[in-house]
Amino acid sequence: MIKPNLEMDPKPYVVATSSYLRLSAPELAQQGKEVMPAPLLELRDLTVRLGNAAGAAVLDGLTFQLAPGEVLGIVGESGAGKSVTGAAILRLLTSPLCQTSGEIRFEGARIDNLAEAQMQRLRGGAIAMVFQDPLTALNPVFTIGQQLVQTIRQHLPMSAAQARGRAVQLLREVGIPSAEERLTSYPHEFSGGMRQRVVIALALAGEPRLIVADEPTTALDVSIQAQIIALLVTLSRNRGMGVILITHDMGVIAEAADRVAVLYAGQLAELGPVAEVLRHPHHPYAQGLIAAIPKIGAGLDMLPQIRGTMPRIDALPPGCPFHPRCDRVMPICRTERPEPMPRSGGTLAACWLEESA
Amino acid sequence: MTAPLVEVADLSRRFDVSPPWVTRVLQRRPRRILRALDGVNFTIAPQRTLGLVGESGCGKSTLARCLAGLMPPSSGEMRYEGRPIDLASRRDPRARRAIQMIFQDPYASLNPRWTVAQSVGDPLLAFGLAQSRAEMRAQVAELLVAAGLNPDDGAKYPHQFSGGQRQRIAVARALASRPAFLICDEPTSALDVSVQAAVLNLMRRLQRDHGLTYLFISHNLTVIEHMADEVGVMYLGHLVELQAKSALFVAPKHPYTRLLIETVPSLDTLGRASAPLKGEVPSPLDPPTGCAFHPRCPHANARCRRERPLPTPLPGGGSVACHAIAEGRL
Repeated sequence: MIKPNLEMDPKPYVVATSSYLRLSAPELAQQGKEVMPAPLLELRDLTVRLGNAAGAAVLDGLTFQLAPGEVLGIVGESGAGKSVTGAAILRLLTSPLCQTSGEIRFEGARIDNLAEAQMQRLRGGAIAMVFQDPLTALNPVFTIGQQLVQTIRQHLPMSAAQARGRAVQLLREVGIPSAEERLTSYPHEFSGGMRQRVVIALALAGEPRLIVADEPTTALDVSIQAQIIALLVTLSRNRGMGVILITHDMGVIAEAADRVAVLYAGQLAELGPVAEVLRHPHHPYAQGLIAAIPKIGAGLDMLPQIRGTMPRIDALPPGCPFHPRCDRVMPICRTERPEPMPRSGGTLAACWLEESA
Repeated sequence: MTAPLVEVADLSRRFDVSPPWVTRVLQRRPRRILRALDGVNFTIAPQRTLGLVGESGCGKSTLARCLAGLMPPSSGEMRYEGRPIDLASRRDPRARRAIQMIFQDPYASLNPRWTVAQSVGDPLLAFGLAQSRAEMRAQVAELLVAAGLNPDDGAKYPHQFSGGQRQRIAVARALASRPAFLICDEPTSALDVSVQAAVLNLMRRLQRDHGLTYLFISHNLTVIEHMADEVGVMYLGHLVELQAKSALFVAPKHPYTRLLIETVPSLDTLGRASAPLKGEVPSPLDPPTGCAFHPRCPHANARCRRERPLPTPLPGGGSVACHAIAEGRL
């Protein structure tokens, strides 16, 4: 087990050890232990700018926490900053192309200023990533057995034979039939859904406590999509693993996520429990986005549209980035940017509108 | 009952994907035939929308390409206004003009070196619908406005537009030849939800204004439900169910349709412990015997494994190809 052995920030963070993280709250209570669930991941004012500190912000001031075993969905349209968030957490955005600022804490310890060598051990180890396209995420010239064994041995002290056994175990866990024989197969010999299962098995190889899944089902068919989502949710529950699920599909969010963050033009528009955000969205953008999704049995003649298009991130309007498209725009929206403010139902919404019925 | 505008009878399309001749002889490998479409039948009434839904490899796009004349079918018949379509041999300018297609990827379907006016105006020239340059320019501007674009956008190139705007250009181009029948192959799959809403609204408005008939193909059931009047469900080259939208979504018949509708991620079923459809679509190169769906079907019996079910008419209209339903087991 690799834990970031880092200088602790003097701020009082309760850090549960990873063995606690594997137990559910009732199990802990049974042991008579009272543990404040420390956030597994905490982003504070995460900002990513293109080029240098004066560049356009593709992600601007994102703050949220993720608890162990929680699935946080991140939705938004192309260019909203979803994938940038995932990449920034894994520190895949490097200067001189991007400038990242703000704090990223993993299990209480800052990882945004971690040395590259230490970060390299975290990546694929405690924090793993699942990409959108399983065909490009796998190396076509190695068997999946070779890729799994290499990843396992990179992160866990195991012999080749042990790692092989572990690889078979992982492939079984993600639901690949006749796992042992499939070890010698190449990625092209798998179907799209099976390939994505292999990618998830690879992500699990280093015993991650956090998985960042960037559009994991977008390249897959509906029936396969449901299987992969169910797999991710089960893994998260069974392993107490935090999952950041990045997608443009609200339906996927509804099925899998506990909480959801809606991004617009690189800024947080709304963040809250899934049921609240989907049923009673506060932010006009979230309202428009949810209304624009065709729903079975709705019998609408025309779908409600959000007028206009998302502004370019290098030419954001002043004030609230959504104000030129908003039907309820007020004078303050044009000049001052709203911060995420608490609303009913445990939701945060970055909007100047007062709570309305 | 009006006469159907489009009729498709027993349409099949096979692809020869055999290894090269030398390999076949030396390694004694047989020919391999991929049946992308296998005996598909349907009709579309004027000004109606037939939605086709199915997973990748089920033959949706092959069907669209056959109908649009981009590839000849292997067998079967396609009729437009009662007359056989002979698009591939270029002998039928009437059907060529009347049948147009909108493709999935607006980044690939527009020539990047042509201005928008060239792309949209080309059908006008090809079919002699504009007598002079000025007339063509005026018509292009009109088409762009109809598709929700600015008339001045004609001078621009595709790269200057967003995905949603490009799809509007594709719509304008498809409308240029004043078609009656539009084949839309996943027209909004590459678009964001809010953009998708705008494009779907545009297509619906145009259908009303111009009396268009649509074949609307999508893998997204909610989009199909929104757009279609009748819905066909395809599985591995077969049309397994065809029903009016209202009936199909309320009382789906075929086990595949039922599971597909259950699997649709919906905003209402929060955190549902989903019981996903087991297994995967088999390879069309090596389809199962009997009913193509039987390995994944909870109602399959020996007959399903042996004998392929044929579409049987349903009492309320439409058809379904399933032994379990024919035998009253389901």
